[in-house]
Amino acid sequence: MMMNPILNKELTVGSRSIKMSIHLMLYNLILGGIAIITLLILREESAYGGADYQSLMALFPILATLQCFIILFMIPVLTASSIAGERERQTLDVMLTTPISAFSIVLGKVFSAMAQVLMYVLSSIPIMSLAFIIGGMSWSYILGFIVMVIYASFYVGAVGVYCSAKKKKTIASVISSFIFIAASMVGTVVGFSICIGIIQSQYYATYNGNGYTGTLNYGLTPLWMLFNPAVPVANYVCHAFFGYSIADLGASGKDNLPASMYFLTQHWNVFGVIVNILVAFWFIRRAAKNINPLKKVKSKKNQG
Amino acid sequence: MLEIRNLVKNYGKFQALKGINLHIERGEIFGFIGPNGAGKTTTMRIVCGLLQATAGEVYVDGIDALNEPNRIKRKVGYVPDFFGVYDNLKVMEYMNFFASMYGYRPKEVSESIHGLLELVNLADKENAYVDGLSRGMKQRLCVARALIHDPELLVLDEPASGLDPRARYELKEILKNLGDMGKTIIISSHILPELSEMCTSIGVMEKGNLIMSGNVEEIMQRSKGVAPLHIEVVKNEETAVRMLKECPAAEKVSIRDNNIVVTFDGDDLAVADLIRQLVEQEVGICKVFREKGNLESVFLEITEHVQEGGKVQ
Ligand SMILES: Nc1ncnc2c1ncn2[C@@H]1O[C@H](COP(=O)(O)OP(=O)(O)OP(=O)(O)O)[C@@H](O)[C@H]1O
Ligand SMILES: [Mg+2]
Repeated sequence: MMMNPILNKELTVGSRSIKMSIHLMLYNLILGGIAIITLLILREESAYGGADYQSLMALFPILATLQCFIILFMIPVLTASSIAGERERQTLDVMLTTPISAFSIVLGKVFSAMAQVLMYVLSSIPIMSLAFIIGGMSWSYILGFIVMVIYASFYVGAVGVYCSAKKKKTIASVISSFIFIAASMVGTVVGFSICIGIIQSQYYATYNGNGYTGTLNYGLTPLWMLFNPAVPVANYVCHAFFGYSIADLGASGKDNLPASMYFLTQHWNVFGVIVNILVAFWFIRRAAKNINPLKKVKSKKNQG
Repeated sequence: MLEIRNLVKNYGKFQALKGINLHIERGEIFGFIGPNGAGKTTTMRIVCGLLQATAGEVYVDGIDALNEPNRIKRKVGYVPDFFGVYDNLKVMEYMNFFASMYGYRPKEVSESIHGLLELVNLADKENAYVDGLSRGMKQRLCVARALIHDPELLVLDEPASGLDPRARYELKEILKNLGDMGKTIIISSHILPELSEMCTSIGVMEKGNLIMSGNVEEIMQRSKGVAPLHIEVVKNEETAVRMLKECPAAEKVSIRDNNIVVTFDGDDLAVADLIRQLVEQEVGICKVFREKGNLESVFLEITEHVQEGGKVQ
C-alpha cells in the first residue's frame, strides 16, 4: 500500500520539529502530575483507613476527557494553516499540477493532523495504564478509546482542513472550525431538547384530571443526537467508567420510542460513528472542491 | 507542441486575456515578455491547468488541456513565480515528496533525482535543508522538481527575478541545456535582456493582448527599421544633414560625436541608395553602420505604439 505522500512528508517534518517533542513532554508532565496527585490523595486516604484503589479508575475519564479537549482545541490549530499555508507558498499550485487529486491532498492533511494527535494519545498510554494496572479497569477499554480518538480526530480534522481551505487567514480558520464544532455539538443538543420539550408538553396537555389520554412517543428525535460527533465518545467513556450507556437509556424508554429508534439506541456508537464519518467525508469533499481550480472536474483517479 | 487559440480570461468584469493566439513548436524556448499585469502569469496558469479559462482552446501536444486537465499533468512541469519551501525538509526528501505525487517510489526515482540535481548543480546539496538554500539554489531546485516526471513542456514564471547576475547566468545555462535536450520551455519576464539571449522565440504581451510573437531573429530583423543609422562624415557635413532632413524616410536627424545619427525607415537596399545620393553630392562618408538592434528597443517601440492605441502585427 502506498502511503499518502502528504502524510509521509508531514511525518518526516514533524519528527524533526523540536517544538513537537517539547509539547509532547509538557503534555505528559501534565498528565503525570494529575496521576501523581490522584495517587497522593489515595495515600492520604489509606492513612485513615483502607485506600480505595478503584478510585484510580477515575483517572480514565479524567485523562480521556482531557485528551478529547486537546483534540478539540489542537486540531483546528494544527490544520488551520494546512491548506492556507500551502496556498501562500504556492506549493498548493505545484501540487495541483501533479496527478494527485485534490481529495488526496485534503485527506493527507487530515491524516497528518490525526497522526500528530495520535502521537499525544499514544504517548499518554503509560500514564493512563495506571487506571488499568492499579484501578483494575479492563484493558480493552484503552483500545476502544484509541478507536474513538481516531474517529474524533478525523471529524475535527476534516472540519479544520475544510475551514483552512475556505479561509485565507489562519486565525479566521481556527475560529470558524470552533464555530462549526460547537454548532455540531451544541446545536444538536438544542434541537434535540426543543423537540423533546414540544413532544412532552403536548403529552402533558392531554392530562384530563385522572390520567394522560395521549401517548408519549418521541418519534425520530434521537436522530438529532446522531449528528452530534461527541456523543459516541462521551457514551464510550461513560460506559467504561459508570457502566452506563445510551443503550440503557434507550431500554428504559423503550415504550416511548419507535422500533427503529430503539434499535438505534442499542447500537448507538456504531451508527453515530458512521454518520459522523460520512459528515467528515462531506467536509473533505467540499474542501477538495474548494482547492480545485477547475470547476468541471472529472474525478478520475489518476493515482496508480 | 503548444497551441493557444482565442484564449480569453475574465476576472469578474475585468478582462485579463483578450483572445490570445499562440503557437510554440517542440524544442523552442519561448519568452513571454510584458509589463506587470500584462497577463503572463494568467496565461501560464491556464496552460498548467491551475486556472479556468473563460473561452478559447489550449492544446498541449495535441491534447485538449482545458477539457482534459488530468492528461496534460504528466506533460507539463510548472515553476511558479514565488518559490515556497517547507521547513525541516531536506533536498532529497523534497524531491521524493513531489516524485511520490506522480506515484513514483523513492527507490525507483533516486537515480533520476540524482541526475536532475546534477543538472541543476545541486548534487552536493542532497542532504541540505531546503529552507537553508540560497535563492538561486532554491530556484534551481524548483526547476529540478518540475522535471521529475520528465515533462515535455516546462513552464517557468519569472524564474530570474531576484537572482543575482551569476545565479541568473547559471539558470540560463541550465535552461539552454534543457532546450538542447528537446524540452519545450516557456519563460516569462518583464525584463527583456534576460530573455533575448536564451530564447528562440518571444511573445510580447500588453494588457491582455499578445501584440507580437515570433522568432527572435525575425523580430531582430524588424528592429532594423527601428535602430538608428550612424553615418560618419568627414566632408560636407551640412549638405548631408540638409539632405537627410529633406529625405522622407529619415527622421530625427541629430549629430552625436561627429556622427550623424538618423532614424531611417528602410531596408539595406534603401540604405545603399541613400549613401549613393550622399556621395553624389560630394559628402565624404568614411563609415556607415546600424546601431545594433536589440530587443529592448523593439519592445519599447512596440509598447509605445500600443499605448497610442494601435495593435501592431
Ligand atoms: N485572482 C485575480 N482576480 C482578479 N484579477 C486578477 C487576478 N489575478 C490576476 N488578475 C489581474 O489580471 C491581470 C493580469 O495579471 P497577471 O498576473 O497575469 O499579470 P503578469 O503579466 O503575470 O504580471 P506580473 O509581471 O506582475 O507578474 C492583472 O491586471 C491582474 O490585476
Ligand atoms: Mg506574473
